[in-house]
Amino acid sequence: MSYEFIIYEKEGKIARITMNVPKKHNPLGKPMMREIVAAMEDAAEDREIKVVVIKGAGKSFSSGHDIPKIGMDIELGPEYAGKRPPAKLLIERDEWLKEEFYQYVYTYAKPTIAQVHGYCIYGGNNFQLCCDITIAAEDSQFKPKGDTIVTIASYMPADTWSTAFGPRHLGVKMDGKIAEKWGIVNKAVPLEQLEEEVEKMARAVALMPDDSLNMNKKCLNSMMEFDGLEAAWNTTHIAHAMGTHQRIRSDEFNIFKTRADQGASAAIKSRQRKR
Amino acid sequence: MSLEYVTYEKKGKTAVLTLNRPDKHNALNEPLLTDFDAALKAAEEDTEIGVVVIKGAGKSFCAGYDLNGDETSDPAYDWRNKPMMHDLYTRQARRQDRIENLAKFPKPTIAQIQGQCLEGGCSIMMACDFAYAVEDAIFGDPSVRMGMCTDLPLWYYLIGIKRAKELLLTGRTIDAQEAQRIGMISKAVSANEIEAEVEKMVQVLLASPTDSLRNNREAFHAALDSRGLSAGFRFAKDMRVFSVLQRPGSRPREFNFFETRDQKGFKAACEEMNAPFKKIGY
Amino acid sequence: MSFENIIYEKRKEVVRISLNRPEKLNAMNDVMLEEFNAALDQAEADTDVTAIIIKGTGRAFCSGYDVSGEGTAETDFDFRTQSDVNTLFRKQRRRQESIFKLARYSKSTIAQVHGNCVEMGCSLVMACDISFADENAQFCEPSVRMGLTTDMPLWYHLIGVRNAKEMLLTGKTIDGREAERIGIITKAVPADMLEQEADEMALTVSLTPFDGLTNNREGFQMGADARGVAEGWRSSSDRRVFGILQRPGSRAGEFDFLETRDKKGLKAALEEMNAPYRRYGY
Repeated sequence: MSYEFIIYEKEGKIARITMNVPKKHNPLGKPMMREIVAAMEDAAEDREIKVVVIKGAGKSFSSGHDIPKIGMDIELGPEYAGKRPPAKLLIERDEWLKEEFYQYVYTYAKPTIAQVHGYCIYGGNNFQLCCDITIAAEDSQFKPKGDTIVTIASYMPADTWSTAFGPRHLGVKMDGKIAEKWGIVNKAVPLEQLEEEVEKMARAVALMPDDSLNMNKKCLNSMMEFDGLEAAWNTTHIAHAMGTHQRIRSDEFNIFKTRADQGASAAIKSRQRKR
Repeated sequence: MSLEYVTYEKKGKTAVLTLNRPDKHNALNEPLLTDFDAALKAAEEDTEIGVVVIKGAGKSFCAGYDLNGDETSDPAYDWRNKPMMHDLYTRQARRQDRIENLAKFPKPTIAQIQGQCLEGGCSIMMACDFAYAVEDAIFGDPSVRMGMCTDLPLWYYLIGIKRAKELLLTGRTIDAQEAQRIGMISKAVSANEIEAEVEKMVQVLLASPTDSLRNNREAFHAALDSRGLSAGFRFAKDMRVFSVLQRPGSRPREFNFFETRDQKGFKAACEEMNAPFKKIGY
Repeated sequence: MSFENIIYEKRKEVVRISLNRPEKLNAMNDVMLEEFNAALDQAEADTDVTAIIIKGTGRAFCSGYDVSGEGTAETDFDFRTQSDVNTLFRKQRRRQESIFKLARYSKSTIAQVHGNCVEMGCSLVMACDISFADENAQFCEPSVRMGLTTDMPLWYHLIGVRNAKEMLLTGKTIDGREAERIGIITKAVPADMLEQEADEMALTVSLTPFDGLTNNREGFQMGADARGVAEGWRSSSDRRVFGILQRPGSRAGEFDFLETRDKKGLKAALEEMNAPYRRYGY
């Protein structure tokens, strides 16, 4: 299979998936996500492969779901022209995200390692949270620079992963070092050491007996289930779907209007304000 | 009470339980575990005892469940003995119950760690309220490299999902500083400070009214149970049994710990198992 | 409503609620509890408001529930005057109410902490979305020393098991930097930066789409609820009632806070209570 949005390589026991739309910091649009899943399916069935490494081409890991398309990425017929998509379709879109992508990654039978550098924000951060182990460059950014508030509800039940998430840390910048401190990533290293650290980690995991990897991962995932993960998934994805129903007052920053008037790039840049 | 493999000392209001198989790094075999249960029971029933300290004699705290293969190590966990599923479940349930009961012990518990604290040793240590360790102590679960699944939910509850996965999907060990940093132990201290640190915590705990401590600790048990800890213990029991029955290391080209142990001895088997990991710094 | 023990200031979209009993280090007595709840309700009902800053006047943020026995029919835990279960439950729910509101109301909440932050003070801080503290602020949850348990479930969820056991089973005091490190607060800052940090955050919040922010906070709350926090409000409240009924410190020879307070006064009682811990640096 040939891929348009990712690069998929296999070397010995390690498979590597590189998100490959570097000009836009590898946004996770539906076509990209479909290819990631297809590549992971291949790696799952290949008996040689023990571990999958996920990374991003260019300057970043991933900037998350396509900001230019937020709220508009549902295929609607002409009868919806000019109208807000109904809640049912919004929820279905988010069900897809949850089940076909995030939960697929999270419950994947083989171990996954995320190699993070640059921006790892919004959906990008969700993606790395679903991977088993994450090594990040010290200066990677888990929040966009200067933007301290997320306006669309965080998709993930990220609270379950780390007590650092949620509104408590809206006020704090989140780079690789801080992410390591809070257990959101396993280790933060200087950028020039990142590739090597991930390589070592992948090789160590690849030395492990198959069944051990499979069962220990299942065991730990189950602990999260007992800890309320499924319930949290359901509630937070509703909150996310509802995010596009938010009413923005005239004196508030309106990303949707700015995007419509001036384009996505301007919309993102103008959110960033100096504190 | 005369016990051979666990010494029980009563020092004022403190019960000090010392695992006592120093020549085997206090590896947990059935005789030791029987003595351990008796000692814990005595500490629980003695109304004068307010705090329990658990230590290990010799160089290490505890190197885990005994897989030596000699007459006192549990044969059921060697799949080639074709254990009855029923038997294996029963034995594993005893192990789980022991650790779960320790985690919910009615009196406060402090673990004092030096040297190796591996697998079952980590279970005991993490089940205690407080854990102090000498700086160069090492922590981890090498049984995952043998093909087994962990039987301890506390990995997740104490250090979070990312770190738990890293340790269990590589089998690597960490030192006391890192263990403190990630929340596995209370504090890493120097060898000549550790007795004093433990004693300090003993006195601080004894300073609070008995019922107060009990109620405060029950609050923790309730909070963790509401997060599924009990279910976690039960589920991990099943996963462990399943992993043993799955014949760890029996796939072609995979390292087979039990076979290697029989051919070359326990020590050599461990070395051979760890060698490829050591080569890449794991 | 006009307030005596709190100060309510509204400036554009930001409400600042200051605990105002500086001569008592802002200990929460009946009048303050009533007014604080009313102030939160008022801010919540005001559609202009997007953020609430909680702070304290004088030298301290909040030194906890007032246990002086004067003007404290609601806040004190004197079992001798509150012996029927119905009353105990009602009062305990009322005590917990403002903490719950801070965590659940739709406005963003910011804590601005200096000086002492004890018991209920910590509850207020952890209930807020974001918290800033003076690096040298002093955080402490001493309920165990008095024979009680906390009625704030987030203790068990926010700072990790080891840290929570250390804070709740010893009643130790830590500074702002340590509070940031273990996760009680968002950020510790030099004293002269404290006000500015809180104000800037309130400003940032007020510029952010309110609906979106509310939704985001809702998501976080729901995730926390799913992991046992929802259950925790009621169970920690009930457990505190149980502790009160158990007559803290009533075993022979153990410290009895209420009796000591009656005989020697509040100050002496607190000193006597803390003395055995202080000896060990706790």
